[in-house]
Amino acid sequence: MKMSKRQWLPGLVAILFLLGLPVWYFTSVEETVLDAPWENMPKRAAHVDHKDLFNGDFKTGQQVTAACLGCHKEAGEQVLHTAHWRWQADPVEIEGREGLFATGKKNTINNFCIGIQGNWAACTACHTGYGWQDEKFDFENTANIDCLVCHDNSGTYRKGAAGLPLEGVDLLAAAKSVAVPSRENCGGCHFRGGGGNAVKHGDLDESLYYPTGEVDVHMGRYDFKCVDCHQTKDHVIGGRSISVSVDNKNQIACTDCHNARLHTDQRINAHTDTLACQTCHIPEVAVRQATKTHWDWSTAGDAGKEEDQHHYLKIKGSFIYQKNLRPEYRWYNGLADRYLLGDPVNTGGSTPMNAPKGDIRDPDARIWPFKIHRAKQPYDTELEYLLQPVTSGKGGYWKEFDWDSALRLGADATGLPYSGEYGFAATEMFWPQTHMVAPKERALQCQACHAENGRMDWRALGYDGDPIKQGSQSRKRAPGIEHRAEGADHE
Amino acid sequence: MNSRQKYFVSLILAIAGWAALTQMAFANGMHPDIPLLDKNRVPVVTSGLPLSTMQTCGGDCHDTAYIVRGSDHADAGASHQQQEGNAHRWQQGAGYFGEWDPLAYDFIGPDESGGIDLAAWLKRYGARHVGGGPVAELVEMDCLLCHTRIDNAARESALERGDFEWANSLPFSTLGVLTAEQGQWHWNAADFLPDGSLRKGLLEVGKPRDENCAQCHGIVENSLDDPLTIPADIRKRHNTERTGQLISPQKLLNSGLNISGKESLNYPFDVHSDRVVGCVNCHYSLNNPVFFRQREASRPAHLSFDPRRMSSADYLERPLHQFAKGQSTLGLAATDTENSLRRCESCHDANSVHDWLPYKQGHFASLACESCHIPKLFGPGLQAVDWTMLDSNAQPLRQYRNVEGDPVAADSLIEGFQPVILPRVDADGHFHLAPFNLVASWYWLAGDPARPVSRQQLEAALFVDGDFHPDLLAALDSNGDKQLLGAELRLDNETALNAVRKRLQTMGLVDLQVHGEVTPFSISHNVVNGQQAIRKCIHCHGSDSVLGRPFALSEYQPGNVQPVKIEYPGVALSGDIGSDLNGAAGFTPDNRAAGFYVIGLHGRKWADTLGLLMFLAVLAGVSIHAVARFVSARNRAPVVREYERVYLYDTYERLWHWLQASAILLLLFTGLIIHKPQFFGMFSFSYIVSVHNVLGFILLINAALALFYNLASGEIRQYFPDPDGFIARSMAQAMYYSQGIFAGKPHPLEKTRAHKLNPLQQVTYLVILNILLPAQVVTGVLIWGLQKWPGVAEQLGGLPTLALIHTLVAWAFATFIVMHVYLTTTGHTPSAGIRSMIAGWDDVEKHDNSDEPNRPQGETK
Repeated sequence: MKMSKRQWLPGLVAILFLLGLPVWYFTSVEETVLDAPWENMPKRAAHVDHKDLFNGDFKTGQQVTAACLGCHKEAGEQVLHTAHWRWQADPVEIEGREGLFATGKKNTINNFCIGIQGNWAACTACHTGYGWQDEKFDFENTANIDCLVCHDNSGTYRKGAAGLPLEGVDLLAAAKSVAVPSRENCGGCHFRGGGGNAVKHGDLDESLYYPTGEVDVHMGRYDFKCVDCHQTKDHVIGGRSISVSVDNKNQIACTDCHNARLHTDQRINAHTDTLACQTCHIPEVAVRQATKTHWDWSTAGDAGKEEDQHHYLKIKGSFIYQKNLRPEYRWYNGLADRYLLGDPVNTGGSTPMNAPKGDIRDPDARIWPFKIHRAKQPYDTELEYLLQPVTSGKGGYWKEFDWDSALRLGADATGLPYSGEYGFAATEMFWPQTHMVAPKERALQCQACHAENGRMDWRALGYDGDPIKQGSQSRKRAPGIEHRAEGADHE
Repeated sequence: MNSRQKYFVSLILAIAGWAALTQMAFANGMHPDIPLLDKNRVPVVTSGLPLSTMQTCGGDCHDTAYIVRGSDHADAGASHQQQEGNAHRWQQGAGYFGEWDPLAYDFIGPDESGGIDLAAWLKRYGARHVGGGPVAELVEMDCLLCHTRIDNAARESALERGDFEWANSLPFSTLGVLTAEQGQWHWNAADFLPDGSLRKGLLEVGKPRDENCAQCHGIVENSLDDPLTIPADIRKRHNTERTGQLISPQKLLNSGLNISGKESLNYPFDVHSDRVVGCVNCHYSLNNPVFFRQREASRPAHLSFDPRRMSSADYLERPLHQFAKGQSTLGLAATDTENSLRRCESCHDANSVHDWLPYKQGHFASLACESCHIPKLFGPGLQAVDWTMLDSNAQPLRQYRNVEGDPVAADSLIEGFQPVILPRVDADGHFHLAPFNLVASWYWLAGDPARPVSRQQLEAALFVDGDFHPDLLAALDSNGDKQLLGAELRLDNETALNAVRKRLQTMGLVDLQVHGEVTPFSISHNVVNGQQAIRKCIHCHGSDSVLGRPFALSEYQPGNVQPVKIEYPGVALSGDIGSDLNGAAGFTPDNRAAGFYVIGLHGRKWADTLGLLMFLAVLAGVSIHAVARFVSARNRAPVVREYERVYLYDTYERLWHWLQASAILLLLFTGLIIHKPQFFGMFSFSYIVSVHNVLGFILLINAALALFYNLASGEIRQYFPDPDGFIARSMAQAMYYSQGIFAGKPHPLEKTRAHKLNPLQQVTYLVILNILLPAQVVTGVLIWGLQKWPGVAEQLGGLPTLALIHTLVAWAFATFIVMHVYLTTTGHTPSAGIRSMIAGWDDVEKHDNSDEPNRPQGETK
């Protein structure tokens, strides 16, 4: 008897279906993907090779800029609105103050080299422009934009006073090399903040040019560039720091790529209500190179003292540097207060320059790791506010070693009156630590905070004691945080 | 003060403040500064006498007499001394005091009064004893040992020297409070306040930290910043030596140990230590009001919790110094507190996180949590201690598990070892399989009654002025380098054995014999969390099961003496000790005697042998039959018959048949994988089990539907043999298969839509459908349901019986399929049977209704 396909094929299909479907249904396990960070990583676009696009003999940086803007017509206008150009953010409200404030390097002070006003030429060596040497610099003129400082990929471009290219820089070679900003472009300024490698940030230094995975897991193990995270739209580069900003618009977060609750351990996931990722994943900073943690300006000017850039310099005073720095921990909701020129100084204790906002009751706040830079810097003992000296400029302290004159010049530059009486006040500056993320096997373990002598000062943070034993009722009473039954922690 | 000075002063103050805070963290800032008193309650700084802890801590505050009285650590088993019922005849008890074990070895003989020589005992054992209890007259219980951070080394050496009077005071010398002047100890008045207490911050009193426990109990490293290493002092490795346990929150990859493949070991040695669970969180004082639990025995049935508590003040006055404990084979003989510890399940709800685990309840009923959650030990755990010979440092010959070389050396490669899994008696009185280390030991027995040769006797016999006796060198120094090293020291040959025996005989020792034994040590620390726990079924279920794999005991056997098992409470050493051709000794666990049956390990070999024989016999039978048919068909003229097409099998019948056939074939295949997983490493065991279960239910549902169909349609009648002429027709069919088929005769019985089955088929299907299939389905469902209704399965003989039936019936099904498929070829053409079952139509031999019943069978049996 002949069989046709039509006869047995449906039967076979039916059998397979009847067996396969239940087997598939009852044995399929749902794979929960906890974290898929690569899916959130944009592909790096291939950059157009500019090698053959330039042939001019560039004499000045501005000529290169003109050539760039010849094709990139919108770029000039875009850069004019960026913080890298204006050194000042858009005006925003600061909680607890009246009015709007546009803060930035341009008009605020810190507790390192203090302020740029009167010191423009020296400070603006890191400005993305050419010729900012006094208060009259024109921020609306695209011709003075410095494209190369971010886009030079030849590695030979260097800037000097007022941001002008140094003598001997081959501008044509630099122009031909332009591409997406490399680690060197960003690091040239940001790794050397505070006047030298590793001084300022704690989590940013020149070890990040070619880090191992132990120093920074993203840059070392996975070869990230700065701009992989600090993504740019219309030349506005993502990321914010409370050293200059007071708001958190256009901020970058770990959770841009990582799932917020990616740990297989429930207990650890529960910590994400309270801790920033950085708190556990950045157990220490200044991993390879010591960073400055203390700066005492009051000891400056002593010619008899031995000089050493990590302990004492006559022009700057005395320092403490620390390597493998353990961060300090504070609540932080992404916003910060800001010491503005003229604000009263706390003569009884320390004056915070940029106190992070948030406390245990704030549902948006997390405990963050900070490098806290502590300094003694000049203030007006009569008027009781911090003063901004001229240091590098003409007649500045670094030449004359005369505080009174330096402070008078500073007062002229800032317009803030100086009584003629000065002293040195303690200040603190907060640096949220977010780079130098360690590989996961180096992340903090429970004992780091919850054992005796742990890292956290629980009571200072607002807890009744170590929440492992005391519970975290004070956190749970915060509005907006899921309330659980009292005592549930003790079960 | 200028601002610069101010700055640095404030910095120093800040550091000092921080330091003070950290001290407070340990001492809680609660314990007052107390005058250090002597035995007369006079401040030591005034009297110049040694410290009395009983007076200093006692008096108005703590009831020290109560504390000592209740302390197992002070008593050390002295109140449980007994002459009978000990593991060894020469023991005087089961506790630390009077106990003897072949690891510690020292034998403190009775003094004139028949009791233990207290001074000798204290010199030898005092370093690991808190004082008080049996030796209270010599050394008081030392509160500071557990409640302060003072370095204890000075106390240990004082006890070894026999300086009992000052032993508890001497740790103060490390603080500079006590100094030696002209051979006299002198308290420095400058360090004391007028009331006789120490300057602030010198003495911090607080609850015991893990490091306090570590002084006697084994390696603890709670710091995350100091990489864990192995201390050279063997006394500091006590429990680590016995079990390989290392208590540390450090991740293995961050430790200082040379662990093989450590870069991938991103988890802590002990998850409890990692989670800040300290020793005293589980081993708490039994009247600590925070932890106090009424013992089950005295708890009224209607009360699960008694809320009446001691006040903190009551507790601080009389804190019971009996601590919750599990059950250890060589404990303090503190039998009152055995198993008073909370167990894993007191804190953990295993039920809620083990849904992934097949047969969850079955596993919980058989396994202690530790069996899967302590997969490997990385500390230097002993494998064997050989006291039949000493090395040049007068130490016994020790072998460590899975450490290459000296366990203390930083470059010794550590592989880690899997503990042996043995039945442990748990608090509920049931056996659970739990991890153990086994340590083999050998030593000389002498005299009558036999006793171990003491360490002193051994040293005297083996050494002359610190060197090996020349006779020993002559006999043992095989490479002639005038030293005895490594394997040269082993008494694994007659020459060496006799040389040592002769030396011992010169000491006047008689009846010398080598004795070997095996000591089990339970392992309950070094727990890992679920990610690192054993999750692979094959770990236990297969021929290479850890439950049946030999556990190494020693590379050699001194005197060729096989070690014997010693009975210890709480563990069943179920298994066999044996040795291989190289003389290496090992222990092969076999937990069947304790009532454990492990799928994939304990299968009955005869069942497979029988099944395979049946299968092969049938295979051989049909093969011979087939060849005979083939040969006979070639030797005779082809028979021409007339056929008519008959619709034999309707659509549902065919679907049912093929579904069942596929399910059975797949069940046999997946069942084979489950039965012999070691041959099918490419399959995920647990996945295959799931598939097998699903297929089983498909088969069951398909069978039930088919039964309904046959009942509803009346087709079921075809399956019932017609008694009328049954024998004759059966014979006819049998004759056809055995003779007619070779002669090309027609089929004896007519096959029609209403009579599809011949009598032999009817009998076969009666057996299959009424015995084999139900047996397979019932045993299968029960095995699947073990985790749901374990009771039912237990009543039917449990897994050993169910699994055996399931296996045997599976063989029967496999055999049936061979026969079944072969007989489908006995139609008018070899493929006709199968074709008819696919298409439904068959060409049936035309027949006249004569006496000779005819017509083909497409399908038979």
